[in-house]
Amino acid sequence: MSEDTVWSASDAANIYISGVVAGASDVAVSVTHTVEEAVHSVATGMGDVVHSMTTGVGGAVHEVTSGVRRLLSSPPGNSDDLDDGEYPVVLPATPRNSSSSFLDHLQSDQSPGTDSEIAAEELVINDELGLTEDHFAQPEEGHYTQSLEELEGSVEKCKSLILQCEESSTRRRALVHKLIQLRLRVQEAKESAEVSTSGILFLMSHQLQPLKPPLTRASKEFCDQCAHIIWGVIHVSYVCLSCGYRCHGRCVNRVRRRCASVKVNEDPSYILNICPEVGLSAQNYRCAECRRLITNTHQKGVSCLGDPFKKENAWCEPRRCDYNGLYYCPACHWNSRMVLPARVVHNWDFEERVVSRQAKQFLLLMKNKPVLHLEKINPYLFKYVDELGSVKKLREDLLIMKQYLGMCRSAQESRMLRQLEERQHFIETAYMYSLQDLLDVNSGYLVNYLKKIHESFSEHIKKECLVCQGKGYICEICDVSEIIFPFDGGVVICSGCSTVLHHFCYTSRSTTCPRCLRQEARKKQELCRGVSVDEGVL
Amino acid sequence: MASRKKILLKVIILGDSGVGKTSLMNQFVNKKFSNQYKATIGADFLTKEVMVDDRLVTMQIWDTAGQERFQSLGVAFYRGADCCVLCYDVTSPNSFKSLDSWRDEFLIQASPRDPDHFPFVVLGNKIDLENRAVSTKRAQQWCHSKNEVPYFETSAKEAINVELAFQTIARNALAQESEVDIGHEFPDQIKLSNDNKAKQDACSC
Repeated sequence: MSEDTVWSASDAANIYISGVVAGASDVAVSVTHTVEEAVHSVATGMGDVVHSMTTGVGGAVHEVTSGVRRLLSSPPGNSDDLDDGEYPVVLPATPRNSSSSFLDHLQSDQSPGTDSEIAAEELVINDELGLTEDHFAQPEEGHYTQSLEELEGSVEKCKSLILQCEESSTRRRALVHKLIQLRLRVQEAKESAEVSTSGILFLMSHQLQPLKPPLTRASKEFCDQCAHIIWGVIHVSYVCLSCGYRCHGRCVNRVRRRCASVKVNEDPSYILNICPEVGLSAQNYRCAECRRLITNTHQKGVSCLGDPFKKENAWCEPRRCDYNGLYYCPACHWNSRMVLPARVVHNWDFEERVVSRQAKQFLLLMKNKPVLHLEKINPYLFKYVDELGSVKKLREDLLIMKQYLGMCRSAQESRMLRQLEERQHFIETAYMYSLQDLLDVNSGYLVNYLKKIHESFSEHIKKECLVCQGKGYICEICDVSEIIFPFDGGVVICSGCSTVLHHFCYTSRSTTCPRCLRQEARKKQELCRGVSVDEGVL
Repeated sequence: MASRKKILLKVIILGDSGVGKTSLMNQFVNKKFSNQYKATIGADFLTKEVMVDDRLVTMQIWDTAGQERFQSLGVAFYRGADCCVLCYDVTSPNSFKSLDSWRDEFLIQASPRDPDHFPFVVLGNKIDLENRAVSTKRAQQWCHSKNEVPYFETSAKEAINVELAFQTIARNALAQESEVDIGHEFPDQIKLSNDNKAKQDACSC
């Protein structure tokens, strides 16, 4: 039913467009493609002329299709989204796509039992398929134009759906996940309403700060939307405060890449398969982000401006992103070079590879997030890389020292643990690494940094502080009055009672912990006594 | 000669969690009491100067964590203790029963030279409460069996017997300390090494 309306709308658009671009209409494979060509030429440099043309088209489309919400909300450049259902986008079964369809059902108020159930079932299935690719799929259209009331309405509907379904079912979990996302969006919408006075624009979760010309420095930046240069002295431009997305003032309405910070906040994890490439066919020969046709063989025929298609002027060379293995058009993939986490954790390979803009912005935001559990991902790495082995030992020691410093008044007063401030996660765990950590291991910086802190901590615990010293151990086997600490070399820590013994004493004499033996004996004794007392009572 | 030296007495307070170790120490050192319970984490010490038989001594009183989960670190501070105070709660028979294990554990970890005659003091705390569960007789019997350990019934809240108990603790600790002093004459003699150095310097010219 809704599908029909969409199609009639697109037909109307097609008719209009074919009128405008009459010269090319016989060449174009389908009329929707014509729109695309127009968009392409925006990118190629015919920009301004065709730009106004497409805007005209867009405006007309808006008028023609006033009944269709989706089209209304999407900017003119996006009108090729109309064939949404026609081909599978890069990743056919990503939850975001499905959740958007689910949300559409929620919004369109035409979701009687069956429809919504199907949508939810899809959601469930997609949910089980995994969430990882979420944010690299197509951003759902129209979300950012939702008003606060609409969002709150969806939240309410989502809540009632949750109450309707069975407890601890997969469906409920999926719904709860959706609810969280909706809540976040509500929050975002509220914030944007607050800050809009300061000139910051909230779009697709970006916080776009306007930069007005003339900028003092002649900056040579490029637009993330149209890939053209932004002349700092002439153009108004926007830059996202969280992910660094940058675009022309005129392109701001066509922003379609969701801010990388959303993915970083909702699901901070890397793809850890090295360049998981499938191939252009899986993407239907379209750019993974903007869906422009990309192919290694140039199209036959003549462009809308009368030029024959060539590889150069069609500008549709596919570029592979080494992070997610998808192909992008040159406007979405600038051959930016980044170190890739998958190659580091599996190959200890720090060579920079080309990635898409999207991946670059994501990787930059993720760089300092401790999300790599190296021991789980690749335990052999610790043997293979010496520095990593010593970093591991140092970090484990620091965690033990933290127990001492956390209990020590003087250490707290002098804020010793603050020394680890720049790497907060080192205080919390010994296993998680950020990509920056690994880069620093490779450069040798991290080992020295940790050694310095290790020294200053152990100086406090073993020499300066009487209280910390008092919390050391004396080996119960050899009973030499030398105070040893669990972070010293040549000691063993009992797994049962955490007593510390000399490694030599432990292995050569007993290989049992005397304190554990004592505690066991005491327990037995108490048990016997308890029994005898009971008997006495009887 | 010993009287001129500054004397430091190391006292360790042990006992189950919640018997009032920290309260007893606070009452003695700061003359303060709080009804609020706050578990001690790890161990810490306070110092107080007291007069014992006309001699000024500094007491270093180590308060410890009774709860097992806060005893994750070592107890090297037991070493060199001059007196050990074992506390229990007169309203809790279990806290009295565990005195044995606290005493044993202390003797093993501190390994004093003469374990049988090491000065312990037992304090039965919270006598201000009405629901008493451990009788004085029972406690005295236990103390008698452990080589006549001094026994006091105290209340940190009402400051009953606290001063007296710590006076006894200080006196017994001092007795232990002076015994140890005799043993410590060896290090004093080794001071000769300084002279050796001086001689070496003289030679090198």
